[in-house]
This record gives sequence, C-alpha cells and structure tokens, in this order.
Amino acid sequence: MTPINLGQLPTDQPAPLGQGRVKPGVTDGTTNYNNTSPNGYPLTDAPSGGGNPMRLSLTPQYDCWWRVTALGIWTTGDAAWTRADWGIDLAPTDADGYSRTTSPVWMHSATSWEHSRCTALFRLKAGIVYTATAVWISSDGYGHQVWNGSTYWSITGHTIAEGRI
Amino acid sequence: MSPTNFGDLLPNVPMPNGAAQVKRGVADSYTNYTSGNAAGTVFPDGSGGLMQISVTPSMPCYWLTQGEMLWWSPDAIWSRGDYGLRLSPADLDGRSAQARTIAPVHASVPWRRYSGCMMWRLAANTAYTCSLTWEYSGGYNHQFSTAPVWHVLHGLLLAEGVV
Repeated sequence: MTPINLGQLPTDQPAPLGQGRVKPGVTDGTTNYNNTSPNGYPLTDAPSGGGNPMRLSLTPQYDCWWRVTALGIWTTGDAAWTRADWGIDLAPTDADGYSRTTSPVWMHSATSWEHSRCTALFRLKAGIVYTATAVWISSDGYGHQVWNGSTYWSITGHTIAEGRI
Repeated sequence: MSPTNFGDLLPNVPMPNGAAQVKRGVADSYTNYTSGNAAGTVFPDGSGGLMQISVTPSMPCYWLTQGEMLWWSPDAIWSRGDYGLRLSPADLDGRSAQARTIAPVHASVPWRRYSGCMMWRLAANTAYTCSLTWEYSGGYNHQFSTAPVWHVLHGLLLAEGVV
C-alpha cells in the first residue's frame, strides 16, 4: 500500500516524489590537511579552509532514503604512497544510527591528482532537519591537498522512496 | 498540470515517477587521446556514435548524470588525463561544464576505472543534452575502452516539479 492516497492528491501539482540538492565548490585553490587536522572537520568550497562547508540540508516531509555523493580530487607533495580518509557525515544520525561513510584515497607526488568519490545512503525520519557534510577524517602521516574549485568538487543528494523505508 | 491523473492510479503499485537514460559504449575497442584532442570533445562509443544522453522534461526537475570510464597509458611515466560531463544548454544555475575527473595513468599500472557525476537543475520544455567529454591531457597518451561494460553514461530524472 502506498503511503499516499493518490486520489487525494491534486492533479494540477506534481506528486511529492523526491528532492534534489547540489552544492559545488566555489573558488579555485587548495586546502592542506595532515594527521593533525581534526577528524570530522568540514571540507570547504574555498582555499585554505575558507568559504563555506561542502554541505547539504534537508527536512523530509516523509520518512525517506537520502543518497548523497561527494566527488573531489586530492594530491600530495610527498614522494611516498600516502593515504587520506575523507567522507560524508550526517547530523543528526539516521534512523539506523549511522552518521558517516568513509572514502580512502591513495596518493603520491608522482601521480598527479587522484580522483576520489564517496557515496552514502542514509535512512531519514520525517520532520527532522538533516545535514550531510563532506568532512576530513584522517591521514597516515603525510600532507594532503584537496581542490576547492567547482569544476572538480561537489556534493549532491537526492531523496528516494519517500514514505517507504 | 501534472501529466498524471492521480485518481486513476492504483494505490498498491509504484507511481510512474521518473525516467532513466543510458548510453553505453558499443564496440570493445581502445581509443588513444592526447593533448592534441580539444577540450570538450565528446567521446565516441566505438561504433560511430557519441556518448550523449538527452531529455526534454515536462516540468522543472533535477537530472543526476554519471559517467564511467576505464583508462590506461602506454607511457612509462605518470600522466594526467581529465574527462568530464557537459550540459547543453546550461542549467537553471548557469552550470554547463562540471564534474571533471582526473585519471592519472602509467604504463606499469593496469587499467583504472573512474566515475564522475553531477546533478543538474533543469527547466521545463527545454531539450538538454549531457555529454561525456575529454577535457585535458598532461601531454602523454591516454587510452580508454569503449566496451559497453566500462564505457557508460547514464542519467536519472528526479524530483520533477519540486526544484
């Protein structure tokens, strides 16, 4: 049984089928991170950690799924294979108690920029304000740079199956 | 006006609430690009076609598009190739060339898969085309597969009418 009585919906308006969100980077340049950068610190849309967080917000009208993807490029100035973890944090936690999805990215100064992508799927409750933020998580000890410009840096999300989770 | 008379729909089945598009490579072949290929060149499908998908939404909506590619270089040096997604005409936020992805490649490293995506905000009754495009080379050779299992562009219309 669908949660919506279809006969009660107006026929001159779209059905509440879902919502999209997109937040691209803004200013070209880089931000540095290393193993002293705080876990959970928001990645931003401008160089040197400036500008605004790469963040989406949503208050679903119905219980729903929220699929969020962040896409970026990373590099290092260190001539060693190094690993950085970044990801997507949800606040507050979702209906299953999940709040983070992590994406590792390996890099080396010889390889140019490395592409990295993180996709999370959260189960949301109606009437709650949720935010999904691209965040720095950890380093294995070297220096890491993320590109902040819009061409390579974005976070997008859309709701799915509203009312049927 | 909604295209659907909701009262005519069955309450126990999903609504016809979206549309998906997919363009796959056709032939299992390899193509070589260099810095001599212009930025914005639409990738071939390996059989005379182009890696493009098109929609004309009946109402404002979001369009989530995603491109997948497999890359390698015959050159024994790390080199960078960029590919991306382009939209024509520009979306309601003025964006038309986004979601560039960098594919670093080296002869000694096996084929590497890359994936880029972008959410576009579309106006009603406009014909939009999203293309999978070559964007940049660091100066060496970059080879990509046009096999249908690796070379894919797909799109999903969602949130129609609620942008």
